[in-house]
Amino acid sequence: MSIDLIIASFRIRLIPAEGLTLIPGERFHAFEVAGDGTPDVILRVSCESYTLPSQSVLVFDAPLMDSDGKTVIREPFWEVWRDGEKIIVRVTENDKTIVSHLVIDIRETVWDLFLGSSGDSADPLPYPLDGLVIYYMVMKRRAFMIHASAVNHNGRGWLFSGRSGKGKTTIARLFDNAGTEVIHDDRLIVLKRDDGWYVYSTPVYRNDIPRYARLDHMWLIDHGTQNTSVPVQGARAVALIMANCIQQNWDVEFPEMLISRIQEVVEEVPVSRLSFVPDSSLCRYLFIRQGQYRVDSIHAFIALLKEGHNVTATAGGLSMWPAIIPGDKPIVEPLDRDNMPGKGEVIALIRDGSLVIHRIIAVTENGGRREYITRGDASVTIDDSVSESEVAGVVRSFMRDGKVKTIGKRRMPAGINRLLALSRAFFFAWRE
Amino acid sequence: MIAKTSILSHSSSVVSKRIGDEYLLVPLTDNIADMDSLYRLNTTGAFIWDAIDGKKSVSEIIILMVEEFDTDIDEAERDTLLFLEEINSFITVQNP
Repeated sequence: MSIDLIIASFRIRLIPAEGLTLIPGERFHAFEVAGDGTPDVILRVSCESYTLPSQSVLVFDAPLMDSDGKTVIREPFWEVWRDGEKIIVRVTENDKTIVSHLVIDIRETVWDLFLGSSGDSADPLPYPLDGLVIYYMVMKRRAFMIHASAVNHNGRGWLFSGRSGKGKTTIARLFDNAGTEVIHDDRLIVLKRDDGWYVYSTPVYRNDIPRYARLDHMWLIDHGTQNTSVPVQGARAVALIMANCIQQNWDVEFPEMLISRIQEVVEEVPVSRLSFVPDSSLCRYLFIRQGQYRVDSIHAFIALLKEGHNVTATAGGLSMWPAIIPGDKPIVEPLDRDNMPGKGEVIALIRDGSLVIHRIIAVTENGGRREYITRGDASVTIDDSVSESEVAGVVRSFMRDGKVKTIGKRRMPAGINRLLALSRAFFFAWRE
Repeated sequence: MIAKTSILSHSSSVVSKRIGDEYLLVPLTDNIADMDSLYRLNTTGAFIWDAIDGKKSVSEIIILMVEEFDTDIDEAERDTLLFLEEINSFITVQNP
C-alpha cells in the first residue's frame, strides 16, 4: 500500500514494490496524509539491489564526520554518482552489507529507491536517506533547507540560524517558555508560496506535528553580552544565510539555484545579526523590537524633530562605513529651511517605516520640487531619489564611545586590503 | 605564480554570483570534508573579478584600478597582487 507524506507542502508518494510493506519511522507519522492529491515526488521503493552503471561517475563523497566536521568516523557513508541527468545516491550501512541507492532525476517526478535489503517490510526513509530525499525534493522548487530554529509569534515566523553551539535550541526553548509556538529547533525548510516566504518544520530528529508560519524575519545568531539586532543586507546577508544552508556543491547547478533563492528571500524578508543573552530578556527584546513599539518610535522620532529637537538614533548597518559604523549614534538635526543640506552632506531618510542615513550625492529640482539623490558611502549603488518630505533631518555629527564626532567626507577606497576585499563565511558542518 | 604579465581567467571550479556591488564565490567540491567556506568580494574585489576576463593582463587590471579608485600605481599593484594570491584557487593563470 502506498503512503503519502506532506512535508513543507511537498507531497511525496511512497510506492512499495509488490509484496513489500513500507513502515516509515515514527517521526514521519504526523506527516502522513490521505493519498488523493497530486504528488511532487513518487518514490518507488524496492528491496532490490542496484548496480551502478559502468559509465556513472563519482561526483561527491560524504564520509560520516564527527560533529567537528573534520574527523572522518566512517567511510564510505554516502556518495553521489552521476549518470547523465541521473543522480544516484549510494548509502552504505555500517557493516557494509547493505547498500541503498536513490536514483533520481530532479526534473522528473518518479524516483527510485533500491534498499538492497531482504524481508517483506522496510523503513523507506532511514537516516541519512530521509534528509537526502528531502534535500533533493526541496531543490525542485523555490525552497531551501537550513540549519535553524524557528518560532511562530502570532502568525509571524521568526527564524534563528547559526552554526552548532550558537544557540538555536536555546532560543527555541526561551520562546517555548514564553508561550510561543516552536516550529522546529534544528532543521527547517524555507519555501516561496504565492503570497510570500514560509518556514516549515521537517520530520528530522524528533517526533512532532508539522508546523509552519509565514516568514517575517531571519536572524543569524551568536551569543553576546546584550541583546542586539543589526540588519544585514545584500551579498553579506546571502553569504551568512548560505553558510548555514544544507547544500551539495559538486556542480554549478545546485549552488546557483541556492544562491538565487536566498537572494530572493533576502530581498523580501528582513535579515539581521542577533547577539543575544540566553535568558527571557531576549524574548522581551524581540517582542518589543518587532512590535508596534517600533512604528510608534519612528513617529515619536519625527515628532521630536518637527518640534526642533536634535534626536539621536543608533546605527545598525554598514552602508555608511567607515564614516558611521554599527553602534554609532548619529545625531539627527531638524531641517532648517534657510540652510537645507546639499551635496556631500548626510541626511536621515524615512524609508519603509525606518530611518536610513545616507550621503547626498546630488540635489535636483523637479517641477519646483527639490529631490535628493543619495548613496551609502560604502556602496556604489545610488538610492532611488527622494522628495524633501521624506527627509527627516540632517546628520552632521555622531556619538562614538561617549564622544561627539563630526562626520567626515566620503573616503574612496585607497587600498583593497584596508577595505577587506575578501571575506569568508564558513559552511555549517553537515552530515546528511 | 602570478606575474604582472599573467593573463587571468575565472576557474571553472567556482560559482560566482554578483549581488549588488559585490560577488559571492562558492567553491565546487567533490568531498564533504572540503566544504569549508564561501567567499564574498566587496566592491573593490568585485571590480577586479569583473576585470578578470581571460584577456587582460595583471598590469592592465592594475591600470584599471588606478583609473577607478583613488590610489597610486604602487599601492594598486601591491594590493591587487595580494588579492589575486588570496583568490588564487578561483582563477587560472596563463603566463606568456
